[in-house]
Amino acid sequence: MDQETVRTICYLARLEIDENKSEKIQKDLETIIDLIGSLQTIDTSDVEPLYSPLEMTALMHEDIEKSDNKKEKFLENAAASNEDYFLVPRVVE
Amino acid sequence: MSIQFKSIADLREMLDDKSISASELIQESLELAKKYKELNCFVTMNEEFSVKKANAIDVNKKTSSRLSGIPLAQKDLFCTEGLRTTCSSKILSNFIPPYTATAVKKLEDAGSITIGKTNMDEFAMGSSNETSFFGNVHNPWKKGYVPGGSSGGSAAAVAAGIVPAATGTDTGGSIRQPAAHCGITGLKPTYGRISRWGMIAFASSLDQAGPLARTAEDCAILLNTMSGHDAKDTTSLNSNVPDFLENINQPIDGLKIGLIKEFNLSDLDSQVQARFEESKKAYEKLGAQFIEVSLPNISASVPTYYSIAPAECSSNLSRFDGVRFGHRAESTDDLNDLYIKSRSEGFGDEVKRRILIGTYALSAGYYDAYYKKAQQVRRLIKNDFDNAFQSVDALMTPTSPNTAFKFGSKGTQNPVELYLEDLFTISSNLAGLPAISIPHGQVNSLPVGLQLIGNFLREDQLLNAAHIFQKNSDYHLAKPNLGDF
Amino acid sequence: MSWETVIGLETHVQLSTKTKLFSRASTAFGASPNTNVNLIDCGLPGVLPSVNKEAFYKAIRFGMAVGAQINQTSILLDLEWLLVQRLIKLQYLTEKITFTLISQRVIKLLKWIYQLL
Repeated sequence: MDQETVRTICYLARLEIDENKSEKIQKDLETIIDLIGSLQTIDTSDVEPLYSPLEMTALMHEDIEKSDNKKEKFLENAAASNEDYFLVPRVVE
Repeated sequence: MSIQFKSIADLREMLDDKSISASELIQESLELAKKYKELNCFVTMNEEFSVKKANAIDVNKKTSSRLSGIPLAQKDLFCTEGLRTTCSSKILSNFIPPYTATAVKKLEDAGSITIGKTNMDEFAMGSSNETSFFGNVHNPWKKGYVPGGSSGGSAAAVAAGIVPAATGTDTGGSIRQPAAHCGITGLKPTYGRISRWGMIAFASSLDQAGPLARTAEDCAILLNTMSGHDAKDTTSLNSNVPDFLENINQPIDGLKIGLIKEFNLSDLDSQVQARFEESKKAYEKLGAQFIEVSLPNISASVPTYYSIAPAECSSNLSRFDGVRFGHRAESTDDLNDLYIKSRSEGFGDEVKRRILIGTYALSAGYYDAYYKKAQQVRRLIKNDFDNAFQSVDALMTPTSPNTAFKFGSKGTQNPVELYLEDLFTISSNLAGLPAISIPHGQVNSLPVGLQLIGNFLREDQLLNAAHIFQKNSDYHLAKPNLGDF
Repeated sequence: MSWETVIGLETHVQLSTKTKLFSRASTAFGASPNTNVNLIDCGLPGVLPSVNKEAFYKAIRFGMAVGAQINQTSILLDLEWLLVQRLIKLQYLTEKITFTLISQRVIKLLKWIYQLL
């Protein structure tokens, strides 16, 4: 892992790291990657991944409308809103 | 008579024989919370509403439920309608949920009273409660020592006797390890037993809510209420919920307990090891048999977890963008800049580290090597458990390799050092199995926990084995000296 | 050097369901902004989406109509993940639920869509 990789991951995760912390972060990530890299020694050929402890079919919802709109409360939690919308910086010039 | 350190069962009796009213009980619980403010267990108190609800219970006089009028504390990652829910993060420091988590709603519908929301590691990522935006929680047993984490505030509030029980969540040991470090009982149920609706997700395939209490009996009372199918959680189990309270107090004659060969206990602190040997003898005396079992892949649990959990976390936490809720950075150039600045200001270092690891593990080119590989190893670990449970009813390990440690003494140089705290607890999350931690004595005046891992849906066996142990010992009755607080 | 032309086609078709893919909020047109939005659509912390059964059947029917292979098992990992791909593109996850069709199937597909309309 190099500084370039760290920068790319940071961008993908939409995170910004202080320049002076960047090396420490790189070192931390390397340590953790080393830890999880130790799994490579385990033979997993023909082993199906286990994505959830419950291997059951997820429940689905019927196509029947159920409204629990709380528009006012949703908008109240936003840092910026008007009576209808969540407000963000201008996207289209 | 003080209500401090009383169990739910004790308090129920006091309420029923009218030696205390619900209002007096809640008032006292709230006062204890204030008295021990320095412990820093609580992020937000729910005083006004608690008092109102207690008064209503006193007026109504109907006590149909065991939990009616009982004060509880909720970990601050359960959404509570109208009551601030922060996940101990700056990014949610102003979030007022418009709905209540199913687990909490069930407890409240049964008459219990949420007196406050407890401190925790930020987004449940940590094993020492030191990653909280709202500061460290002290271990009630020793000032300046960690309570464990991530449900550290819940564990400390119960250990200090402020509330008889609290809710927690456990993704890699976050109920059991703080329960062990604070000398109380904590249960992580089977994955899917308790609804995850309203629980702010960290790692969705590992997260599970559960109770922390003074006794196994009280854990059974809470589990009875919290369990059950919920259509709002598509991974909620649709199986019968037995009466866990009814089922405790069965003899454990012939109970087969497995000891995991791969966990070399001689590496542990000799006194932690000695406690373990003693409890083994105690169980033998009660009629249990011990069998050594091999789980060849269990030592891969920690690296497996630290690949899966950050991957799921990076995805779950991408919703925090400063637009619809949570902290928003000021003066941003454009929408993308708003996302980046809000997230960078809002998340703490450990959360950022895990998001970055997860993003890396899921990125093109690394997915197979890290994420998929870990899920394959996860199946091997689950298969190991399945094999072990062919010959035993439960597995026994220490909950944690050591006792509580000093603030700042672990993981500051190397984060992996702190990850090893979860050595004994992580595997049951990977396999979705229930596990309980019970106090079994002290080392250097700090509590030590004993863990029992059960087979799928066999919380009844765990609670029973724990209850029988507690009936025949008094470790769970030990109280911290709170003179320093 | 000889090249073979392979054209991939990604189609987005609005399904005639009453509710959304991951929640039971209405898909009706014309309501005021942020009205047909519930806790799940708002992506609030702690919510868990569920898949619309009708949409699921329609997806299978569509797959069968164009002669695509229907996976017996589809792993959505956690459904929450699908909500949040705006920020971090988890391409691996979407691949599992996206039909990619090669040129031989395109005509069949267009005919079928035409019939639907």
